[in-house]
Amino acid sequence: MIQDFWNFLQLTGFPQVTWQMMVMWAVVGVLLYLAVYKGFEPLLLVPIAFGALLANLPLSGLMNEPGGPLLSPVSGIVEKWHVLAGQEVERGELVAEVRDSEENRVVPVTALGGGKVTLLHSLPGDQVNEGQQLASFYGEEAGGLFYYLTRGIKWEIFPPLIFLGVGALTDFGPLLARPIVLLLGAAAQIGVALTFLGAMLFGFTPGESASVAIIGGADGPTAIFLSAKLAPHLLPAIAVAAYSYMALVPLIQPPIMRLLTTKSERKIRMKSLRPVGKLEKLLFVMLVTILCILLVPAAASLIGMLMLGNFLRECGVTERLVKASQNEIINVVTIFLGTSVGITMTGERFLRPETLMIIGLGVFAFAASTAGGLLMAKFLNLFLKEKINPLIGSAGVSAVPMAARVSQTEGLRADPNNHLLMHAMGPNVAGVIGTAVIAGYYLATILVR
Amino acid sequence: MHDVTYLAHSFLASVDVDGKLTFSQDLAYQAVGIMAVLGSLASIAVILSVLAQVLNRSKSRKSPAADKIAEPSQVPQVPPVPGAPTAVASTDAPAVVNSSDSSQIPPGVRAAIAAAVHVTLGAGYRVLEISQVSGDKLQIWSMEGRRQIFQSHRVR
Repeated sequence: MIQDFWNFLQLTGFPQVTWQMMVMWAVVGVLLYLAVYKGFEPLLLVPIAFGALLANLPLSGLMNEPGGPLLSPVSGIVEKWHVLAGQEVERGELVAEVRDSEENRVVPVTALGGGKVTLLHSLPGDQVNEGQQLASFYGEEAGGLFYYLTRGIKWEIFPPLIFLGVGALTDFGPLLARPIVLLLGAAAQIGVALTFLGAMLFGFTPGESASVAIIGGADGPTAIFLSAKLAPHLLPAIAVAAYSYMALVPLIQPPIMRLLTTKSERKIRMKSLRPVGKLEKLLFVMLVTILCILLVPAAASLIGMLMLGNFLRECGVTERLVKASQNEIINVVTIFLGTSVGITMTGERFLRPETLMIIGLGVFAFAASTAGGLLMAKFLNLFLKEKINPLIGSAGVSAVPMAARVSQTEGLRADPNNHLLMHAMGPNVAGVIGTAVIAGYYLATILVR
Repeated sequence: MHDVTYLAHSFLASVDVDGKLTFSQDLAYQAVGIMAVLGSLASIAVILSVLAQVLNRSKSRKSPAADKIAEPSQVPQVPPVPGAPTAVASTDAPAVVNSSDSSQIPPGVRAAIAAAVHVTLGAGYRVLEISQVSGDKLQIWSMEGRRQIFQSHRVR
């Protein structure tokens, strides 16, 4: 009976637990503590942390791929077949071996699901490319739950849907009342560019550097959108860094704001914002959609959905669609997006030196973006009659509305009767557009093999 | 500028996701990116400024005194308490009535509005502007009614 019990234990997940999994459990605990008790972006960090917990529990099968054609994992030469055409195989069974041409090592090919190998498309000695079909396969076994949910990230569905909700929640009125603040949102992207340079110096590839640098844009969906395309192996670390730093904006920004501005600059009072009409808001949506998508077509899904959400909001005749976008759609997609990001946070992927570098570069990205917006405001004041309070420049990072609140707080500290919140919302929402544009630039210009 | 553009262009044509760049190539690449972002947002800013002026001019042609606001001195004022926040005009303020309409707001109505502000927001607030709801904003109550009806029914 003891032997039977021991045999049963071998079927459980306990023997499969590794030290990396246990370390990740501790990381999950920290993330959940930060989210639940410290209020660090809980809407994203809770699903991400829970997804990470699920990813680090063995044999869950949540990420199992459905049975599909057998593809070569590397470019090289077929070394050996372990099965014959017509043979039944089980999930994970070794079916073939391919010798990697570059690294001269033998890579095993295993069945992704149970089924039957119907036809071999290559023989031992044949040259194959990475992704080339080695054999046809028939299988009825479905994939795990999160295999399908993660398609939302891989196929770039979730981030644009989040942007639909963001557009429906955003009021571009403060931006339209004073369009020049668009330049503050653009200048904040200088931090993204500088971080890219720094990441390249640290040895990251252009795709990885772009994915790390976009943390400076302080825009979670855009960071996930870009990383999923250019550096999917860094997605968990980038997502955790991006959302954690967004919550730390009230800690990161104020010292930089005080360092780069004088007391008299912080006291600058800005003229009340003019009322903005409905027609103006609707024309703005059309203008941004057409101009930005023509400039960077790669950002079409992000910009298009952001502007669709905003058009639904501003037209005033699609109340139910607006409410769905602001509530049901964005909430459901947030859960799926967060857990799908977390499910990729395996110990092997997360516990690497690159994670620490990403965390360090993320802080730099935020700081540099803050400085970029502040300095642009000071530069514009050299030419403007109606001065801009440079504190609103720091709101060019698109952490809406946290960064605008920080500008408000720092403004009140300098002058208790100077309310900058609505003025800061202008560059804050401009930053969303700026981040999407620069992400589109990277997507369009960095080739993916 | 011509050399930078050439460098960036050759960079864009040659890099792949694992490519190695020199620092100057990287710098040029980033410069082009920032120019693209600044250029696009600056263009949007210019067009929006022009659009705002055109729309304002057509509005003022339709109602010449429409841009005059109610005089703050015409409404009861409570001196602000030092350190207390003052009310800020909303960016979504309704269309401003012309001066002839604002003088038609009876003093009793203005007093009632000031009293409502005092009761809801507390002391230390000053009413800066009173405008009559008009145009698109008139539909707010009907939209609210439609919303409540839709919510009260199960839509099949």
